[in-house]
Amino acid sequence: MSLIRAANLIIDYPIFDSSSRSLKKTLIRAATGGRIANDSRGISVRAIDGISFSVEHGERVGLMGSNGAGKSTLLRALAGVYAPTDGSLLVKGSVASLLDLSLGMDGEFTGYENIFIRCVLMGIPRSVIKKHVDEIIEFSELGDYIKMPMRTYSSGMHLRLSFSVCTAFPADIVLMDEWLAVGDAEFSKKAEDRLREFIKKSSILVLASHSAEQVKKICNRLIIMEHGSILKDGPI
Amino acid sequence: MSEPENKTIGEISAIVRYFNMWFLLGWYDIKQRYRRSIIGPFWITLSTGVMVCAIGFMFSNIFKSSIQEFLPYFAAGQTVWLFISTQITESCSTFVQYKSIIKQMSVPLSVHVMRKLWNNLILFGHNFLIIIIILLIYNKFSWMTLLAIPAFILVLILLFLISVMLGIVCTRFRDITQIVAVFIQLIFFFTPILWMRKVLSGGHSWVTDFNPFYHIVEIVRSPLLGVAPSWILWLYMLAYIAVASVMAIFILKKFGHRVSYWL
Repeated sequence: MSLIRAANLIIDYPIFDSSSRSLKKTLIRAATGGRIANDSRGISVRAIDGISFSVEHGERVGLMGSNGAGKSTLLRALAGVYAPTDGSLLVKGSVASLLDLSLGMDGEFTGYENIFIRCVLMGIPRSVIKKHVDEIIEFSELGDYIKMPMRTYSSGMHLRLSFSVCTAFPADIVLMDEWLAVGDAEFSKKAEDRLREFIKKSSILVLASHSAEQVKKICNRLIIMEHGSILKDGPI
Repeated sequence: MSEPENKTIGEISAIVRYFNMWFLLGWYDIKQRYRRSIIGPFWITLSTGVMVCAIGFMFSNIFKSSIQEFLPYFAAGQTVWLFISTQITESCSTFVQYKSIIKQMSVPLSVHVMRKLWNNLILFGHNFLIIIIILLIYNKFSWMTLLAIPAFILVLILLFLISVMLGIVCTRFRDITQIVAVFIQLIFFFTPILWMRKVLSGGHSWVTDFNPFYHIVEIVRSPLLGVAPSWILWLYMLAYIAVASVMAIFILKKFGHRVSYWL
């Protein structure tokens, strides 16, 4: 069963300027010892400030809050990018992160090759990719363009392809930063259906959004964050 | 998420689990670099080939050694060195280079290191053609040549460990990248690649005796030239790998999870 459990989760970003990144400064700092020791770990920003929550199967969580409230950081922590600075975070189940759809895709490669690049990054075995590649191409409606380098694509085509790839393989936990709207009127209807289907197959959804309307439509639980803490957490 | 205790084992098994990922992406890295060129990565073969031959002929004159002796020696040494030095230099910027992935998803660091190593291994494969041709011309192939394979595997393991270490440390301290680049350039002149060990007069042989890079190059080069590497070289290699493992595991355990913060 999929599960997310955060207990007292703290995430601090270290802030490096060129001087604290340099070896020389660190050596000097080490040599000068206690005098400026309070400075020795540099400045850091507390993005997540000791939050606790758990999300269980079937929950669709909307994550709201103003800019800099810690939504994106929390999503990345859930994706396993940031290890907790303190506290603990347990994520059970496979994670599909729709945070950056075109991650790893390269303009020099054809759409076909990029499907493989993107899928491999999602950890899909080659044999499985091969089975699904036709379906992905068909859904993206790229036709013969699939054999062209991706740099020749319009931004709409680009998005259509990456969207088709990212929603081709269901996962237990889906992470999303803003609801995805893809393509022109006709395609966007189709995409919306596919995305809903994709989420329906998942066990947990965490959607960070600025749109209260969208969250109300999709989610059954709302978490409002502010300055890295949870302001409000409850069902919608 | 894996328990911290299993993390190191997780990093090793990730090489197998994520084979698809580093294998394909590493291959595509090369493909991308040579996308619109006709002979592709064989440009590397060509440029290394021309370089090796030109310098080989010239320095065999300078050192007054016969071309039959010097050219295969230099070709083998230089090609192996090119692989080692490029991998070490580039390992410093591995994580910075693959930043977009590291910042978006959780992939064990060793997978990125393998991608880079595989990258350079492909290029080495192209350069290896030169060695094959020159060894054929000078009739240097023998059963001894096969010993180069286990030797090379040891070198690969060592390079992997060094790359993990340097990758993590250089992400935190960007200056070390530059230091490593200068250091590697310097090492080339202090390691018998362009010159032969025998030209050192008696008192100076310590330059090679205590030079790990000499041991690393020599253990692969000497079987290629038909001479079994002495047992002490194997011992040295195993010792380096042991030390590097301890250091790599320590650094990985202590700082591995911080890399995404440092990017």
